[in-house]
Amino acid sequence: MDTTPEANLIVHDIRGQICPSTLLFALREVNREQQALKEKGAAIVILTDNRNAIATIPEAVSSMGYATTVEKKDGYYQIEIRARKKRTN
Amino acid sequence: MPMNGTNREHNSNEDRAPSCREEEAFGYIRDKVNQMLTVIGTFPLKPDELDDDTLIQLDPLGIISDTFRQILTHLNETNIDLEAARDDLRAIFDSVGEGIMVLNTQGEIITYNEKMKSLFIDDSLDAVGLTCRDAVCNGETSEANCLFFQIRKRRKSVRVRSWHCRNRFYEIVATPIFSRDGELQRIVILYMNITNRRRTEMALLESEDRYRDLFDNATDMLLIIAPDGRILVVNKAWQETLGYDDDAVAHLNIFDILHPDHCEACRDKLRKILEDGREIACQAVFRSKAGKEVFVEGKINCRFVDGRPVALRGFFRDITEKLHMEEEMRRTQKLEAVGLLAGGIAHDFNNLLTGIIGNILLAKLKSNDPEVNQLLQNTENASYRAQELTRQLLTFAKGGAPVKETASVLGIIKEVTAFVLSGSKTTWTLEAEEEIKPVDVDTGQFSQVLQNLVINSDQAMPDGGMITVRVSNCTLSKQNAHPLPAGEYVRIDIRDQGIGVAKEHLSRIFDPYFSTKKRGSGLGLATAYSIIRNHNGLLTVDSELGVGTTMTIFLPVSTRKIKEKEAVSAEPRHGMGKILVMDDDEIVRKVVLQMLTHLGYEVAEAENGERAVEMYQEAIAENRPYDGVILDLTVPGKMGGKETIARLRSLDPQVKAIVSSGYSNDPIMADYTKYGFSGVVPKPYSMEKLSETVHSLFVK
Repeated sequence: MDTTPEANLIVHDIRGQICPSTLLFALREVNREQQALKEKGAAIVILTDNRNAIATIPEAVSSMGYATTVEKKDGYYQIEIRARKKRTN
Repeated sequence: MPMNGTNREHNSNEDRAPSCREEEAFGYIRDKVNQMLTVIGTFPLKPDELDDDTLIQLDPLGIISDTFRQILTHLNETNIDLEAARDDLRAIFDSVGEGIMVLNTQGEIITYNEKMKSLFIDDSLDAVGLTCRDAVCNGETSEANCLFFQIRKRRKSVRVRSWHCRNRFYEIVATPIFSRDGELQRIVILYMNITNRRRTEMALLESEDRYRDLFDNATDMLLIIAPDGRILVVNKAWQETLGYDDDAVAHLNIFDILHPDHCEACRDKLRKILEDGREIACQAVFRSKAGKEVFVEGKINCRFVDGRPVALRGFFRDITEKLHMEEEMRRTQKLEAVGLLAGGIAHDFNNLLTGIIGNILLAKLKSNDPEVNQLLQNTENASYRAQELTRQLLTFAKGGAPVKETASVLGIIKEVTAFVLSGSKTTWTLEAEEEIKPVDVDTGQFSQVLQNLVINSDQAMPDGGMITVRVSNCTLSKQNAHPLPAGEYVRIDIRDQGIGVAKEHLSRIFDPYFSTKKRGSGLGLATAYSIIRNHNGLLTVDSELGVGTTMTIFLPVSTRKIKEKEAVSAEPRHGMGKILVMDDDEIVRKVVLQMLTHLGYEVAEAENGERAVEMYQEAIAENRPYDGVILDLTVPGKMGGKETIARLRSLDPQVKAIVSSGYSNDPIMADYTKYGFSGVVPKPYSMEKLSETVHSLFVK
């Protein structure tokens, strides 16, 4: 896990690893960092070469109230997860 | 993060052959994880991705359970947000100043806002579920005009610019809402109340209409000019006066229609108004499209917007006619002055001629020398010509009421025409196929008319030609083509073969001072016309350029017979009787006295009316009354003929009086019986006329 404080980014590079389930991993991290994401404006960045993940992760975290951006990099994907902006009441 | 390795080895080492029950447990966990992952909306786990040990270690049920918690939290928050958004929308919906309602595809109202309610729906009514037809237009709108039907048919937004309902005007926009698969689901209708705008527009139109009406029907010429002189707007009076149509006006500049002599002055004036904005009064001459000069007077002022001149307003009145009339009046006044002077001169002159002619007559009577008699005769002839001249002078200047006598026109026509055409290249002929009825004419004036007409005809044929004078009797019915009462007339046509008169001049030919001749006074035909009208007749003209002109005179036929001029040309008639002569002029008195004495009468003289009345009274008192009196009409400073006869008639209703005057144009001379006279003798007297009149009236 690599945290870059200036951007408040929590980066997980899981490229090349035989990761049993990129989705479950991402969900676990989102649950774990729930407070940082929702209250401190942090973002989780997942670097993965698992192509399925770019469909499953955004879909699953969207129902939880998160927005994702997916960028294709050189041989891998970068998925950034942030809390959606809330309506100001 | 590694999720494999040690744990998996440890598990496999610990229990290399898991019991059937364990397998069932792993299978159950794997199933539930996959089931829940599917609920989340993602793929099930692949066995090679996650072995049993890792499955336990990773705790996917825990992860999914936490995930579900977040999903639920998120859903709750979303619900709260949605409710807030709905409230916001409702508030916006209700606060919009226009009526909005939403219909389903059956035309039933799903919702509507507060404004809609205040515009169309009773307070007590809940319109949801009602059709818009029931709730809004009450069936007033036909199906063809109903927006709901239109939008179902056209499937796109429909706008109606002005819809009238319940005494208000609306602009309506209806918008369809479709489902994802393109099916019509809702129709949103927006009602904008434009009643005030419409009323303002209508009031503006009405106001515009009113001002346009005033502008167009103003009898003055109104126009608006741009600061550079371009004509922007003109009214009907302007167009009608100057003859330009709308298209022509659009390309006109004020300087195009100004007379060149006025352009420079006008330019200066416009510059001045644009500078100081002060209204100025001005006179100018415009030129009509046909080139006619139109004299105008009026005012120009300037319209400023934000301190800058934007237009000039001009208000003009066509004063051409007025100027002509003023000119006419000036001429008439001048003519009247000349007439007055001429009348005075003629009067004095006639008195002098009375003395001259009377004395010549007396001298002729007393002389037996044929040579002297011839000289006297020549002098007498010359005096008569002088008399004719004074008469013409009077008629010319004043017109004069005709002193009519019943006569045949033929004699006068022959005499005048022959006289006028003597020495001319023009020949003439008189046609009269029947016996011409007599007319009542002032022979002097009628001669003048003929003279003018024949001279015109002669001048119209500089190289000579033929003048045909045709005289006939005619009867005009009530519906005749002339402004003449029905009756019998003598018609005289004087036709020449001259150059003719242009059509555009025909209507003005009898106007005073209108002449097509270089040296014409413009009085000849005007006088002729006026004389014939004074005879209750008519003078008309018909002409064709290059063919000739025919002047036609109508004179009413006389009811009287022509008097036999028995003794006039014969010797003077002698008589006996007592005659009183009243005249302020001693020469006249003396000559009349001598003439009458010569004729055998006893004559007394009076120098004014007062004296004449006295003497008449005395004679009655002495029982030696006068057989007749001759009264001069005009006596300066004393009683004249008119008053004297009135006094004498009150003394003696049977009084016989002859009126006499040098003012032969005096109306009393023309209508003497009305004033109580029995006869008239214009001055100067001829022995024949005097003796005849005196004899016929006074000798019993």
